Amino acid sequence: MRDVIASDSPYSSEEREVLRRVAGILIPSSDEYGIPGADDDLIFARILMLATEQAESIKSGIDALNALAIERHDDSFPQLNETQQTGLLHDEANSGFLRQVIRCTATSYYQDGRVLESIDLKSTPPFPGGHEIEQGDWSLLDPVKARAPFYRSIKAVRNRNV
Amino acid sequence: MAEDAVDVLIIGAGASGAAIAWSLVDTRMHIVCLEQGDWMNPSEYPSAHMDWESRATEAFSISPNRRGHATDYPINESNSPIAVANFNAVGGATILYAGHFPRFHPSDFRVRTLDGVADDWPIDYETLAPYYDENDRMMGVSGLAGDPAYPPKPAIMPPLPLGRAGTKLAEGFNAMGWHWWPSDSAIASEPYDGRDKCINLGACTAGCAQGAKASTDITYWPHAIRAGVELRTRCRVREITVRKDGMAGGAIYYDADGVEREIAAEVVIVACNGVGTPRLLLNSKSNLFPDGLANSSGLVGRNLMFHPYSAIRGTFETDLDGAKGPGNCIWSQEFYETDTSRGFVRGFTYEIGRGRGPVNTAVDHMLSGKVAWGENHHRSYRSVVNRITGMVGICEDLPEEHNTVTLDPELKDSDGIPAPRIDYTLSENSRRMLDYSIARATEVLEAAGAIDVQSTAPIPHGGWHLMGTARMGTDPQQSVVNEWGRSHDVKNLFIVDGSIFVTSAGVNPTRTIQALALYVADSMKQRLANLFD
Repeated sequence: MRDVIASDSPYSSEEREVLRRVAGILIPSSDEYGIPGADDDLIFARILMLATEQAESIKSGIDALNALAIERHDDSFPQLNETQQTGLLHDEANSGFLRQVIRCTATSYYQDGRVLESIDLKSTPPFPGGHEIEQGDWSLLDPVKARAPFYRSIKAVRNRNV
Repeated sequence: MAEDAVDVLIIGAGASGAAIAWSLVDTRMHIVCLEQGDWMNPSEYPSAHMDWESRATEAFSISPNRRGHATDYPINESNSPIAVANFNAVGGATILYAGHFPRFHPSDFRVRTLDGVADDWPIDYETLAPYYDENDRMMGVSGLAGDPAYPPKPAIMPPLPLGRAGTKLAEGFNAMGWHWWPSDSAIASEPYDGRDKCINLGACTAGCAQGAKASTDITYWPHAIRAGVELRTRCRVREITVRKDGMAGGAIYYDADGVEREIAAEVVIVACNGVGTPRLLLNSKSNLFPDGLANSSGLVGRNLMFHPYSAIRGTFETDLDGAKGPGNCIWSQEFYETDTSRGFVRGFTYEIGRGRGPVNTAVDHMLSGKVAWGENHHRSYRSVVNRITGMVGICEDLPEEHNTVTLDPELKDSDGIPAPRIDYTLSENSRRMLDYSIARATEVLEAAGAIDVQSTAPIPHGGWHLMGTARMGTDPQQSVVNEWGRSHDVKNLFIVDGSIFVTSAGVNPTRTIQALALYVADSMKQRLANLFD
């Protein structure tokens, strides 16, 4: 994973604050499963990295979200309470902005070792440890083995080549 | 003036270039292969990293336009519903292929005779059978003998495990009374030829860090190089040169530093795939061949065939394999041979997969609204993760001259070589076949217990198989190469990749591409004394 240096980020501190809040609403922490939310420091750092490629459109989306917050509630998005913030995001659910943020957030979140362990996956790369796979029930093949060959025979057909 | 002269120049070190290089080495000729890509470093493959799902869509994306590596060339595919998937490296697209490794069927070589469409091949299954066998030994194929959908063929290693997903879908196929069989896979299920066995990493299509998947950089190439073939990487060929007598003279290429170089050769073999090969031939214009090399028929770049793919997935109520295990599992060829009552000619193979990774599951389901975001997210996500499996339908694509690879008038690669442009239309026959494949797969999944079935067709980025753009045949006016791969127009020029396919069949093509390459090599060796007559 490439290192993320804050000064390299195309996002201002205000924009990062909005993104972090949105990520935390999309995937909140869970006491039930003992896992952090997407606003966790490590996870959010990866979100920022992933969001670099589409920075221009995401920054426009942040501006639009703040404008909508001011229009509806007379304050910028980070200043609203969680109910107000969630309501605005639901209204923007089909926007290109939120779809981009969902993509970055889910991608970062579900590559975090703590999260993967909570869904019975390894917190390590697949290689070199690998995985166990059951052989499965090979007796299911018995009726297929009993079937007569059904590929078409070409014996005695005349070739009509170009 | 050429810097060096060789007996045989092979352009492209992928599936077919590797096979023919290895086969020709016993002629003791001086063989050089030019490859525009690099050797791969398995430690860089995504499965060796925590963020393997991200890497698989970035540096190891199947799309050259997405990857944008210096070793890639761009492709204008804006006029095609299916985008090209390829990879440029030693091993070519076998680096990223699934290793799903079916053979063609006997009927695939006789489509005109049997079904009245397209054309028959100038060779048949029996001709290729010994080369299939030889290629199977070189690549190492896992499978199970006795498949009633095929003539008898050997199995070298035991099949890959069914797992939970394969078992579940086998139950579905059995409930419908339909054929299924463990897939032939170019993945080692036990140690083979210096390669270790599969350990179920689950990211086969982004490169196998274990080395169990048979990409040609670890199968054919080590043998070929030890026997004396010279493989030069980061060498991008601009054009094949032509001598005054109309024979191929060699090639002009750019090295890793962008320096133009020339190599002379007595024989030139093109192995650049169904897009790269017509691109190279069309870029090789000369006074003798103003429309591109080997193109007197006007068919270079025409008859492009993909395999239109449908993708059908179901969500189940119990945990399956998730992202664990090789994508290959079982196949079904219940609908392979023509039955006109279905509303289309020819047929398709179902390639059953395992499951999806945690990221892909989350992204797709959150974007579609099937997994909630917010306070219900975690419960909602846990109802689908590791519980999805399904299949793709690999539909036979018939050749149509209006589906083309041409040179884009503006787009160029980093060396200034004109890039290919794809113009492709999905046929009505393909659309009907895709619809049918979705309907029948849905029945299988529901019979297996799926509670939610989703489908896509065609898979927009599923242009893995590139075929037909320099077809073989006996009539020089209707084909580009003859029945053993030699250009009708240029008698020391051979083509061995998927571009020489007459039809596409309804299966993955790599095993047939390689068998054809071995067959062409053998044909050349048998005619060495009069190869150019």
